[in-house]
Amino acid sequence: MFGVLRVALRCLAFSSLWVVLALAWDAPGMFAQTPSPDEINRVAKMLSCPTCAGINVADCPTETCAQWRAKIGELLAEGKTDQEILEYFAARYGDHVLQVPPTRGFFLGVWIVPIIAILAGLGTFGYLAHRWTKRPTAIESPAVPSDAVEDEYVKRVEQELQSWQK
Amino acid sequence: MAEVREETPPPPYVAKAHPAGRRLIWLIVVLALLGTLLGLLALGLQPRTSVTLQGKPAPPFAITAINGEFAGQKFSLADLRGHIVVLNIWASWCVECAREATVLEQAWRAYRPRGVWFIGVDYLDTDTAGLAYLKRFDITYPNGPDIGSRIYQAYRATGVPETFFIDRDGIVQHVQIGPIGQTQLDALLDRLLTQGRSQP
Amino acid sequence: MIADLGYVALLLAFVLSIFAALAAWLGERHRIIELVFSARNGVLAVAGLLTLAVLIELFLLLNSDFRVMYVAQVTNRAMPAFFKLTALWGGQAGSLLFWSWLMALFAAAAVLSGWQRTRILMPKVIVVTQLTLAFFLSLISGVWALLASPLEALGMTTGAALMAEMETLTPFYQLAFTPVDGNGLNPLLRHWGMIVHPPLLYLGFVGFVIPFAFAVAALSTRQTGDLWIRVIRRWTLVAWLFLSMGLLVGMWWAYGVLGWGGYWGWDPVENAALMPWLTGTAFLHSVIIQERRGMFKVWNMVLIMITYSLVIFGTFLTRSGVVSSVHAFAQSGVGPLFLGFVGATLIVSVVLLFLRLDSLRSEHALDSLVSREAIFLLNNLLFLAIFFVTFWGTIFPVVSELLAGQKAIVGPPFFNQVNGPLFALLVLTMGIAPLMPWRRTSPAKLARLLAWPVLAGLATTLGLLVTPAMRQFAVLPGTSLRIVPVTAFYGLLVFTLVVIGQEFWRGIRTRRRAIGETYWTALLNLVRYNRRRYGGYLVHLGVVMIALGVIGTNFFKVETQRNLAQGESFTIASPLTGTYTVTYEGLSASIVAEDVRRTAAVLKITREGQLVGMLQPGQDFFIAQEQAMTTPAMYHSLAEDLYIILAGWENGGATATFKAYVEPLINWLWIGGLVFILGTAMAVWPTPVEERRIAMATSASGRVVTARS
Repeated sequence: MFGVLRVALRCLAFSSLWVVLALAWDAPGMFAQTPSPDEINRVAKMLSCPTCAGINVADCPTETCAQWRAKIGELLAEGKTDQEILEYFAARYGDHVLQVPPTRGFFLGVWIVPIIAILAGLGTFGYLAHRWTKRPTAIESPAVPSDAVEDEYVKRVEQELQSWQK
Repeated sequence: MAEVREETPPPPYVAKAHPAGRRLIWLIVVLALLGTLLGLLALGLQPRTSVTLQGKPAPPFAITAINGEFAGQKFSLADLRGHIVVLNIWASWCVECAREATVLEQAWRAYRPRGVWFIGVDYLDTDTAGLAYLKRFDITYPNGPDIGSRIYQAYRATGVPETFFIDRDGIVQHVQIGPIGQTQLDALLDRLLTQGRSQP
Repeated sequence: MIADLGYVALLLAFVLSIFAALAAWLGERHRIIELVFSARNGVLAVAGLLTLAVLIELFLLLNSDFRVMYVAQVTNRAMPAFFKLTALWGGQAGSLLFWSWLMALFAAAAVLSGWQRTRILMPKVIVVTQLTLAFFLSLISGVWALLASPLEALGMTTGAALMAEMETLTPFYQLAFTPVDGNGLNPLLRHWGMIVHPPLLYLGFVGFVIPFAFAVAALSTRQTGDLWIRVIRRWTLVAWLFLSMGLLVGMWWAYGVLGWGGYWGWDPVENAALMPWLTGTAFLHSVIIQERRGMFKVWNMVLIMITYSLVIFGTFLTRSGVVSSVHAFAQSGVGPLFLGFVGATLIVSVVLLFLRLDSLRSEHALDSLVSREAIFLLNNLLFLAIFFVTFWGTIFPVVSELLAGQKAIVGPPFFNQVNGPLFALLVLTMGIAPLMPWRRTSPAKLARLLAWPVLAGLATTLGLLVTPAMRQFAVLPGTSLRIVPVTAFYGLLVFTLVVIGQEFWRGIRTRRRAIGETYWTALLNLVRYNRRRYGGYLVHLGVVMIALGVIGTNFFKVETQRNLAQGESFTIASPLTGTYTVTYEGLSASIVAEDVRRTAAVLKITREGQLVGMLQPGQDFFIAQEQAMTTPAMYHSLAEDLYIILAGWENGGATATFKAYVEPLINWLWIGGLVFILGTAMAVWPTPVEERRIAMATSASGRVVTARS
């Protein structure tokens, strides 16, 4: 039990360490030198190529994407954070260059509708289960004998055995 | 159709069937939902291409020029009312655009004195690449980035290049999909120029 | 000339399919047995005619008869003969012909195999399958073009233009001249994965038409008892088997060919194939409850109707261009026609269902929430939730543009974030379900059954949390918070594994006790005498293995991009094995096929100093299409793949850019896929017990037949 706690605490410690580190990394001016392709790709992955459906900017081979990656590099070198870069691209080229619509206005519907639908589904499930289990079931629900669980399965296998062994 | 069903009396725990009225309401609700969905998709199938703008008022646009003498100036459709406007949507990565770049620039120089405005809209481009393109083809008419791809969307463009010829009353008279040739461009502009201001 | 013959066969098939539907309908209505027989013969004739049409199309493709527009669109002279044949499904018109042909074969098989045992359902089965077929044939036989002039006369010019265009959609449409050469097949499709993928997918899609036809037949004749559910379970499984294979091969192709190191991108086209699979899987589970307990009858009808509608809807999505940004299709008449057909199908199904609600009453009540029925219900809910999320994400761009005037893209992060947890819950229900007895149980007994699996799962999670590898993972950027769900998911997989193992073990032990078989004979006989149940477990085992790969690649993938000069090297560290060193030795050029040139980089790969092998990622240049395609190179092992692509090169190869990925556990996905397919095939295979049950159900419904006549 203590093991779990220790691990949980350690996770927490790691994550808070990361918050500190992330803040340090994101501080402007940290990227004085040219960013590496991997750093550029990290951001480019969160943008989608508008001229070729369904591919993100990191993976797309077109000229547009190459230019965009270069621009991401410039912005990173200026010390912009990932979020700022995404906002720049959304403002410059439209919201549809983001892999996921921004969380505002009508776009919230992307997230809200499924959540409502799932909750409604759960609600219906609960309601039906409640209604069904409340029905009188006296006719064909004799009390289950205490060892029935193990037996039911074994019985099934034995039945099969009999039906096959003639 | 009279049918004999395999009917056993319902066991007591089976709920009574819903009254017909309630069932009908459910049917209507389900059908309405399906209808809405299908209707939406049907709307989505409507052709929404630039060609459908022909003969209709041009959607408003505004750009901030980045090149030459106009750098920093704002241009909008409202400001240019009373002039013939040639709106060209292009991009530096577009091969076809490069084919018409000189044609457009020469026409601009020829028709500028007669009150024709050329406006270039740079679609999905970085400023560096866009400026390099403008410099390469020595383009002098006002060009600016399409912020938020709004002009591209408002004009329902289906790709680049696309060129819209807007008359003095702000009506789209012609939509050119793909690069335009010099003879066609001259003919179009001459026709628009001979049209009187008062004629619709 | 021969193309004309093909066209005539197509047109005849179209007319005959309508005739068969009408004859079956009238024959049943007015009790004219000759008409029903005639309808059956019509179904067989349609299958024969379409076979002829397909053979003629293949002949045209093979002979490069470019006067036929379709042949010129999808092939060229330089293509290998094999690819010329597979170009049958490389374009719109051809693939619709192929679809129709498969559909006709399925319909013929359903009618032939069901003629004796399910005679009472046959007329309506013929009506539904032949109407569906007639719709597809109408698209490619040019009949819609007949509507062009009436529409023109009514002043509907757009509609008229769309319909007039439909004339050219015929796979036998002939040009006024003969082009010198054709365009050739899209290079992406010239891979064996893409050759196998569409037929499998189509078989899956087409297969779901049969259960739907039986469902409608059962509803309209009020044969909602045991019979239809037993008959269609097998058909559904067959369709599901093909659809699953199609999806898996599609993923495999995407991974091996597209060169982005992934296998699933939540693309509308992929979603279109996934959605019917999800609802079909839900159906396969809930149908078990109807078989055993006579419950959820309405629900099962709804599921099979949704699945069929999704098959048509998916075809609509991929062919109308309504969601993807490819505008080329948007103007074609196929979109509106498909939408109309989907709409008509849905409305007819819903109305029919409401009219027949009385005959679908549940035979039993739900005894307890702690029962297998309840778990299955939950499982259905989860499948439907995943379906809905996928559906919503796919159509949201359309909704957003129309209602809010804002363009949007819903990419993989949305689907992964919302569907990921739902899939995890699904694995949980998959693990618990076999332990849950029917009807009810007491918590104490459940706890006893769950004890070992839960312990094993917890031990896995805790063990993983303290392993050094996981701790290293936890300090990678952005992963620290993920470690809990990731390890929990692994615990879940082990839990499920133990449950499955326990089930096998208990069966073996019982057999050994009863008749003293050896372990192996017991196992073999156990599986042999209940292929359905143990096939099911095997499928679950496959799912666990697939999940292993999915988690591995989603959470532990490592990637890097480097530009190297000749002789330089870079390293990429694997989370499971050692660190790879990749050395660039130079470029090589080769000729792959008559019209394909390859440029490949020669890479030396070592791991922890040991030579692993040479990899040659490259780019293929397709001369006819002037198109380049990356060809990834991979080093496979059970632990992971090292996946490298050549992104570009400068100065004749003096320097080159590479993208490298380490894909942990990915091969378990493919192995799991094989196990999955094997399990399904095992469950589909007819067993004497099943045959007897169908026979019994038939004699039960036979009473009704006599009562009616």
